[in-house]
Amino acid sequence: MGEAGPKIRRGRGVSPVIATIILSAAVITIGAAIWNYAQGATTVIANDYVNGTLSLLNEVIERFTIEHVCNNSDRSLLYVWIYNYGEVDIVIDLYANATEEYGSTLETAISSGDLVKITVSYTENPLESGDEVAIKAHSRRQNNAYYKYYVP
Amino acid sequence: MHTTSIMCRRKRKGVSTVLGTLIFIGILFTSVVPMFLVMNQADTIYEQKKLERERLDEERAREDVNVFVYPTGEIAPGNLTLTVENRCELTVKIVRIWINDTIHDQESIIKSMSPLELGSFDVSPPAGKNSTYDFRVTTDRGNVFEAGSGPIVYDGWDWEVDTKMINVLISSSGVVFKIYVTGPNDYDEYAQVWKIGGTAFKTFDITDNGNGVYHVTVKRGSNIIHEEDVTMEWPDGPSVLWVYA
Repeated sequence: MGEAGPKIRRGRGVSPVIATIILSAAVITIGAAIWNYAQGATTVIANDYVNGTLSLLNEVIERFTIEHVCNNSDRSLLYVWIYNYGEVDIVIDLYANATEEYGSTLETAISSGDLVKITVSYTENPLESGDEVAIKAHSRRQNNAYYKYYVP
Repeated sequence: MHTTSIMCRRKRKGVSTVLGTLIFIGILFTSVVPMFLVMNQADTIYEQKKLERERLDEERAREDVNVFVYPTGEIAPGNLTLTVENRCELTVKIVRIWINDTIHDQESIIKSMSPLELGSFDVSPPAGKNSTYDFRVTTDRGNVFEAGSGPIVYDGWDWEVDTKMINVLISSSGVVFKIYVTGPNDYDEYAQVWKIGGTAFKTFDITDNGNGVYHVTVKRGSNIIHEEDVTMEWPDGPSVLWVYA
């Protein structure tokens, strides 16, 4: 019993050091992992937020107008000029609906500052003189421009 | 001996806590704070650009341009001249001129409250046939302005317009105004107008009366607030004359 005490004391003298080292190593390892994960997560969150904000910004600042509309002599084609006067490039889907006659041209890219002529075909059922055509230019960022055209 | 052992244990326990705290602070300053800074910067850019766009939209709404078309003259009988009058506080840049469905690219800048003559434009009207020419100008802000005199017509031999007129626009303070217009061939017209929405507007049709000098007087009550002589010279000048009071 008298010899058992010193043995226990020696054991206690060594294990706290090892325990501290092990504990510190564990803290550093887990901490590094958490640090690494936190950096990755915050980078992803920040990137998503910035991309979302810039995407919303482009939606807010894009500007375009239907500048002019005319048709060919046999009224089978409708020509629509769209002017992108905003600062960002746009992609336009154009819908031109007359009474019982529907036409559309999808995915026309228009650079900033450019005027682009879009042709809508009515070859199967040509427009008639006096027809009223409701034109809607719809951008892929969900903005719209409208125009009412009367076929001469 | 026993007391020393406890003290040693307490010190070693603190190492992990300190390390944990340092790691937490490290994460805070290297990950979380930069994330918020980047987000804040994105918000700032968004607000700044949005504000700039709103300013441009306001400028677009304020653009005001009068467009007049008339024959260039006997030197070039098939040509038409365009006068664009900037009636707003901003400099206006004309990027395109439309003659019917044909585009003429332009790079003309018109100072505030100034006119600019553009052209002449060779439209080569076919002899002996009626043809109509519709002029419009596009600005870089996305506005399209039509010729105030309407389409100009070539009747096969000569140029014509539907109407010749004097437009009087009143923006002076007051509500009721009297406008007197006198001119050649004993032309004498009077109109009373009310200002609605900041301006009062009256058109005097002088198509049948012919060219010459017209005297326009604008009165508020018995006070004369504006007097001006304007000259109708069609086809050597615009078919629409403007008087601003």
